[in-house]
Amino acid sequence: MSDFSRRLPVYLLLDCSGSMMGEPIEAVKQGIKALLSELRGDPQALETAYLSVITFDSSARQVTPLTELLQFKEPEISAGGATALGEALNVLMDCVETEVRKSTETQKGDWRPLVFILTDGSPTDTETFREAVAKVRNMKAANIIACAAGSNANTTYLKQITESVLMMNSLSAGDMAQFFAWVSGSVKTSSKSLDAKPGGNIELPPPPQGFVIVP
Amino acid sequence: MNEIIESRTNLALGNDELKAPEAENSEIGGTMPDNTDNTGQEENNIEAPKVSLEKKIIEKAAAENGGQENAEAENYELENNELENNGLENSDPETDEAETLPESENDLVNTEDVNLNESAENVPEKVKPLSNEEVTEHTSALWKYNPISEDEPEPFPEYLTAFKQYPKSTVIGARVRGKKHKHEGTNCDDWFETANFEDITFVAVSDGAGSKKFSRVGARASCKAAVGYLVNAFEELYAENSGFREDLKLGLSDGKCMEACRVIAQKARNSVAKAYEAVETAFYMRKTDSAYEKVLGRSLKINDFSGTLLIAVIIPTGEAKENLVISCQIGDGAIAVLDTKGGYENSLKLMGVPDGGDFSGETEFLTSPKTRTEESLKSRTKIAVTSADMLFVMTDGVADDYFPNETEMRRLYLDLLINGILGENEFSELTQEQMKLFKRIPDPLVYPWVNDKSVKVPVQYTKRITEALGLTLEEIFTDRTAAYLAGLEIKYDEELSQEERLKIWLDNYVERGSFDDRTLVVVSI
Repeated sequence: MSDFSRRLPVYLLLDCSGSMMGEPIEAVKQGIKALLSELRGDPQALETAYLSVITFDSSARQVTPLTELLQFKEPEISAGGATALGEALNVLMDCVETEVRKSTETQKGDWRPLVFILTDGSPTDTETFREAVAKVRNMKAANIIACAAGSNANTTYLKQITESVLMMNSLSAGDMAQFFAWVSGSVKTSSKSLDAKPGGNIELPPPPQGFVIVP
Repeated sequence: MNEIIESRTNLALGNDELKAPEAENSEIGGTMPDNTDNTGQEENNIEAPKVSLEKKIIEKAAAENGGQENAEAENYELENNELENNGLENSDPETDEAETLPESENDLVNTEDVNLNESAENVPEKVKPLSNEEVTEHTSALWKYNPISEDEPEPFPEYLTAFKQYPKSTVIGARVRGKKHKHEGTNCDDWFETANFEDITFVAVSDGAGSKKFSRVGARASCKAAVGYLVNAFEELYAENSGFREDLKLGLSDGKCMEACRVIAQKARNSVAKAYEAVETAFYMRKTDSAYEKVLGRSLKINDFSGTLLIAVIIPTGEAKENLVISCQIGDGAIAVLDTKGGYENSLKLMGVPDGGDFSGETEFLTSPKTRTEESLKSRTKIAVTSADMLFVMTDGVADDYFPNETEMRRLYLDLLINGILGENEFSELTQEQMKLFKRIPDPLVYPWVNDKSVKVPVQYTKRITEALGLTLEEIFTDRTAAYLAGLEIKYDEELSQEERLKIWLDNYVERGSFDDRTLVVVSI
């Protein structure tokens, strides 16, 4: 008998490179606040979703391990440096490997993780990125949604990671707020549709107005 | 003689909004056997849930009537910022006042550890994880109750219950709308039916696919058709070959017995085929109906009626306490036979394997063509000769809370025992030793009823008792003293029927992450 209930792990991979300095990074912080506040009002999300934040600039690290929503503390984040998206993917894979519970005979494993990547540029660690992408695609262990923010974001790289790529026009506080609202909507939807088709691809709500799905 | 049970709550009967659709009889008209008497419906022993729940209230609720339920529920809608500011501390005055949880729990909820908005700099990295109970205690105030939208065609009743005394078995069953559906104001997708032919008992349970808005229609059609077919098929079998019951007595090593089993297993498989035909019929009858199209925003597809189907047939072999059980299971959920009086080790047998396995999910449904091939159905049909005295059929809303089913179905039985649904409590006066043990048993957990937060329903859990007393499941299953003692704290009005108790329990036990519809049919054999 296990006392674990199945969790929906949610990973946020956030670009904290130099170009995010100023308004954009403040908007990201606000976004995380709003996301938490929204999810904490939803009993289904509270009972299932766990949240982790991985940030990347010239390197990447997990700033918040996978944490219960009620216990989640907003991480201290600041912007500066390059865009080590490749390393971030490696960190993600390590985290999924160590944090996400697998099914055993006596325990039901966690649901397939939901990963949101937010970046305003293109990876500067291209070699690492290429290798990491190959591994991520092979793993298929997560539903990954990538969002390219602003005109400098390169969707070609993101398309290599996942089929689900969104583009938002600007790094404005308004767009950022919409993005996080959409993330919370997606987490809510996923925590609801779990019984329908766990493990399978999930249907996310339509992206906010002004966001473009990259074909 | 033949009876199809269909029970409704007063809630459904007395309230137009929730009334079961009249259309159902016409729908099944084509698939139900002619001799099925649909008038044997059970309605007299069912009360509106509120009335019965009140009998279980341990705290006197403020006097108000059922018409205020919705307004009540809204008061419990926590504002987000309110939540932010208060962290885990329940900001709702009514809930605070209802703090009847054991002290130890309050100790655990250390607001320092879980403070939500203070991000002081010297916060230690590791926070003590919250227990599942702490989380569910918090979410219990957030679950809303919303009645089913009036625009929905064929709304389902909030509850289904059944009690049936057959010649050789007693069936109690209940089905409740899951918290998720209550929260969203959507329909329950589960259905169940039970019937008999002479001393043979039939049970069908279906869970409509959660992703399909009208899966409930398929769930109901399949259950009714399967059970209806089986009643007819066995009547015919008797007429053609009255000796088959004698053959069953010969034991599985005998060729004649095996042949009889083969025939019966074929009937079980046929019932699945008939169930699918009924789903198809239901689909064609509604295909051109714009009401469905309006809700979906597209035309209806057969997959919109996707659901699981679990069939159980129980035939007394003639030997004392021995039964032949045949099952066929498509999709998740569980069918289990349990010998409550036998030893631990061999007391439980699962009569079906849910699909999915390690893929965890990808549930197969009655509407998937590959599940209905002869080969597939054969692999899903199980036969057992058993001296077990109890059979459970349930949807995954219950089965998932007892994982792994191979061991935990015993815990399900104990939970039913402790919560006063099965069995009589044997203790009236306690010995000193029993009194000592009794004092070590934690109080029942009390959460507000989702439908009406002023109603608090105490539920006791085997898991908490074994934890508190340091017992294994085997120990408490073998010596049930602790279970009986724990049951003393759960009091019902004596008049409250077993199926009503089952319904209340299904509607109120709390497991973290468990908010699906719950259906459980218990056959005592």
